[in-house]
Amino acid sequence: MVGLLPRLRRFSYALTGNLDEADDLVQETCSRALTNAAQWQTGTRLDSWMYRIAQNLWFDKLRSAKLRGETVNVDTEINLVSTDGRDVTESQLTLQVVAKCISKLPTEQQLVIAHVCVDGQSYKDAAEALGIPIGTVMSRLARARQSLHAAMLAGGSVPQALGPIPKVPVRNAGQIKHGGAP
Amino acid sequence: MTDISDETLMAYADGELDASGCARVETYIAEDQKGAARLAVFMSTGRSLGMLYDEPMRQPAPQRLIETVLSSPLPAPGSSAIILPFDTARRHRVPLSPKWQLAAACFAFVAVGAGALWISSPGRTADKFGIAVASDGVSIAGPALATVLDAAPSGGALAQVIDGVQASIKPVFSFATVSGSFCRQYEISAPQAALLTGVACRDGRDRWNIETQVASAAVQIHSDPNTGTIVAAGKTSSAAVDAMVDKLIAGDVLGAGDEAEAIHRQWRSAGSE
Repeated sequence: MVGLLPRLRRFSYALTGNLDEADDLVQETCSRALTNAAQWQTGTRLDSWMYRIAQNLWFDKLRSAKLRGETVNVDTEINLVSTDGRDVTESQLTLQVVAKCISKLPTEQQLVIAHVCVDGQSYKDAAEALGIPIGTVMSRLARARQSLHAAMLAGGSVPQALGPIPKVPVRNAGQIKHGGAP
Repeated sequence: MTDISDETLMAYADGELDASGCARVETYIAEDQKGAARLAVFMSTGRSLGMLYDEPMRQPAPQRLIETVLSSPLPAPGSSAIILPFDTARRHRVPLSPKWQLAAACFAFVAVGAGALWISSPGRTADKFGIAVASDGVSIAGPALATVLDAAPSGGALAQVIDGVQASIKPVFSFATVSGSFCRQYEISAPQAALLTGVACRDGRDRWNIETQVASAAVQIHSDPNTGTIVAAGKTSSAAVDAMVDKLIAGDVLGAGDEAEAIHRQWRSAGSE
């Protein structure tokens, strides 16, 4: 189970959009899994079982927050310096935009994104994990990615994993220099 | 006119189509001007986007999580999870199954097709982007790439302009060779282009020699259902790049501390000076 932690954290990260909340979710998932270890059938995949626990816990949380009238918002505040003091990289800024866009998708679309795009599962594995036909995985995923792409374009984010890239004037060797010597 | 659904284009971008499916999509993209733009929606939102969430794959899990797991007795998961540190996982990658090889074959086209959008001027091709040829004929990192390789820690992407194109360069990891010199694997991405992956090694003249650079597209995680072996994405790349790393590497990839030390020493091997 320790060996699954990196993937489980990443999967939860995709759902929560926030690493701290992802870790809380992973911790709860592990506790739940250990308490109910007897329910896990040897020979079936431990990862799929734990993903199911994680997604159920997350949706319970979303639902109860909704009942209380709260909204679980992805933190859109951009901290310019991360916890370890390093400057926030471009990809972290893009992540903020992407996480916000993903949080606005219907939950069943968020799930297929988490399984396929983030965890890298095949459509077939995702269909098994979610208990839905492969055709449904594909249609949900295609719709989710079209919405995501449109939202990212509207949000001004370059739809690239490593963007957005700030505008930098193109240097031109033949350009006439104005002003004094360099 | 070929009728290709969004789902099929997406499956193509994700490497989920068989050979005949790939061929149909490629014919469509070649014939229909809207094809490339439709495909780009899925190319830019696939595994490459998922990589934004890879931070937990690069750093150890918090102690509290590990303690939660270890403090409880659990029926041994047996074959379900082999515990491997991240970098070891990369080095123990299970060979690609034929399905993934097929996917890779599909991607070769995408790389060329998408790359053509920006790598269109004469003499500029994907495997030369960001690379300069030194006076002695050696392929070395161009100024933008060298700047990033010199000073940036692995994992973060930096914006640079290469040949007038806005690009983003990310060192992926660093390692030492048997001879004690340092090499780095890196990625270059630019809008509407395939991801480029390469390996550059520091030579005795403080240059980054390009050992290999290839276009690769979205990267898939491969997990073996039998062993549960975790294969970290983001460090997987094309077979050519992996083969080059395997050939050059001595020991494991550098940890953050060792890498910072190497940057501080300007990548000069410990024995020199």
